[in-house]
Amino acid sequence: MTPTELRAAVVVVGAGAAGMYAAIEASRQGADVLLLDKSLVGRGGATVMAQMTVAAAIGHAEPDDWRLHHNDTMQSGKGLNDESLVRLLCSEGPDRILETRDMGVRWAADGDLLRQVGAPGHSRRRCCYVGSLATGIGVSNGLRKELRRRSVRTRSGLFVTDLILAGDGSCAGVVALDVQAGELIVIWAGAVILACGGLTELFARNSASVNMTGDAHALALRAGASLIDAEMIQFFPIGNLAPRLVGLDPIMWDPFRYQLGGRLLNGAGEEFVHNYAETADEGRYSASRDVLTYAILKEVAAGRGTPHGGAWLDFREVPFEKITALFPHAVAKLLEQGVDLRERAVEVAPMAHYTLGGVLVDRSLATSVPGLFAAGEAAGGAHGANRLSGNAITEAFVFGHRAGRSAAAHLAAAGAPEPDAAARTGAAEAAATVESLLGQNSSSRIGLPALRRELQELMWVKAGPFRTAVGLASAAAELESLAGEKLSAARVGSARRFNMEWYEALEMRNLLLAARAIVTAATERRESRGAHQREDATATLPEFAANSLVAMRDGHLSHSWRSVVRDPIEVA
Amino acid sequence: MRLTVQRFDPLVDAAPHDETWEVPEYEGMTVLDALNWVREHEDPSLACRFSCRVANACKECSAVANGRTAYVCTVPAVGDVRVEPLPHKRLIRDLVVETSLGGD
Repeated sequence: MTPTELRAAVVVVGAGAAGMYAAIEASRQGADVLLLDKSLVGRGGATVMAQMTVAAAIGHAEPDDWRLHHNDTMQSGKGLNDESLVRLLCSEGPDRILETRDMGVRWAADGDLLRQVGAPGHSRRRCCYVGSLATGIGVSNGLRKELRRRSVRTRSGLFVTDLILAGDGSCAGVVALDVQAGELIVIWAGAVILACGGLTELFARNSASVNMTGDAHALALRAGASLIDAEMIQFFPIGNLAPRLVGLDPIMWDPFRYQLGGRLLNGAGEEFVHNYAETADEGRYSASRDVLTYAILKEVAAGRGTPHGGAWLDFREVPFEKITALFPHAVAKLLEQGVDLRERAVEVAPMAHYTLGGVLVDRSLATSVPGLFAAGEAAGGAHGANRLSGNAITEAFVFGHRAGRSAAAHLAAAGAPEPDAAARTGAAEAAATVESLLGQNSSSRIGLPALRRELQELMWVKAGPFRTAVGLASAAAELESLAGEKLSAARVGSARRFNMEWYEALEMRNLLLAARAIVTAATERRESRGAHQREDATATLPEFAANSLVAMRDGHLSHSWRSVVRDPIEVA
Repeated sequence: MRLTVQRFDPLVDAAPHDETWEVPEYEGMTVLDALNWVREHEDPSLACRFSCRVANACKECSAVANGRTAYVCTVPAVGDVRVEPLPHKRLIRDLVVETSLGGD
């Protein structure tokens, strides 16, 4: 079957906040944009699940300065932040938030002043939000309005399987599987922006959407771009573990704890966080995410966990009227399900939440492949070894905006050349490979959902919150067997339309490559720093105050170190 | 619990048919969890839409469960549950119906 061909000046892959913003800005710059999502535009991805806040030094709640936000972000990143990206994030955050208000995002406000609250690690009250735990949906709806206003072309259900390279190594477009129709499409483009999120789906316990399968990371590696700090995965300390809650975000306990207090207790009912952090936490929610993750998992490992293997989060000493007043919607949903916070504590545990590392970009969000850009969670470098609460959607806005602008500028300079012979051959080969998976081993007993589960358990245990050289070596060997004989023996049904196994096979290819990159980088970083904790190397060592880079040549991953980018600012 | 799903691939099958599985229960399990259990343990070819899994944020997993239209990530999986695709929309396969593919 010959793939259908489309054209666009700029293709944006992924339609969360970063992708939508990139599409809006490229369109404003006059580029003909096509915005794709493998799920539904504005629905899949991480943005809609974000219930929390968005940080920017707007100074509406108290005097603030972007340089203070910059200092806080640098502090949190433990020496690995690319300072030029932090400057971009913090200096442009305020403009972007105010701009999204004009687009139709209904930020909580009193008149012209946005409400800004505090969050751990922020020295000022600078975190904006929408409604009661509705920030992500509010953001998504506002950006979609702007997309419609600008008549930006969007396509849901297109899974980008490959980037197409021209003979000179520049990016010439994408190959995509139209999941609903079961057909391949080639889209020729002058610039491509990867905004398809992180790789949290690699881990057995994760709090993000099922779409976060390392697509950007794998596409970038296969096209010749590099990853930065691939070993840095943020584990969110108090994701909901038990009971299973319906219709609520697994990380919703965070705002509960931040605004209400609430005690974090081990299986024996004792407070424990102060045993691990220098500053006692004491329910004031001051310990950073990496410290809390460490403390909870250490208690569990020492046999002091809860029945499901986490910690208790207990609000029984908080006046119930206070809880109801702050979170009426969530409390009603909890009561519907028989969870009464007056009577019981809940179990919480760390979960993979956010991909700190990612595709290596410069301050214009360009990768090393001409015409290829990355933005949002897919791009690495801004957060270093730990991300502050509230910086993810700011990053999506600011980096999306900048990537859209840079892609348009690239087009103005380089034009959108006709696809050359190398591009045509590459596209045809990639499409043929995808097509050949359909109906593969259709009588095999090895299913892709089960293989994914195996991968997730492996990564959680051996390359998750705690790592050792021995565990990582064993993970590398198991990944080889998963990527080799197991994946090639997996069944893919032959149904053409909405065949989940077909795209899951392609996602598995991406997950496995991303997993290999993580294991490679985690093996090389023989120290502990922020989100990367090595039980066989617990100290933070000055010689590792560098960014780790992973690249792929001829199917093999290579690792190198790069000095951290410094871009000092005048002190605020 | 016992999960019954209406299966149908309009490109292949003459008519829809039901399939039933016994799914092990746990506290708080949802119908979407049960569908995913089937995909992992019994039949990975079963098709349904979802992204966020449990948060009721992505609004992709709507179907008809025991006669009522609902997001199946919010429906408790207890006793007997029969799931079929939304009516009045073009059926793509199993529980998946056509959703606007272009702009909204």
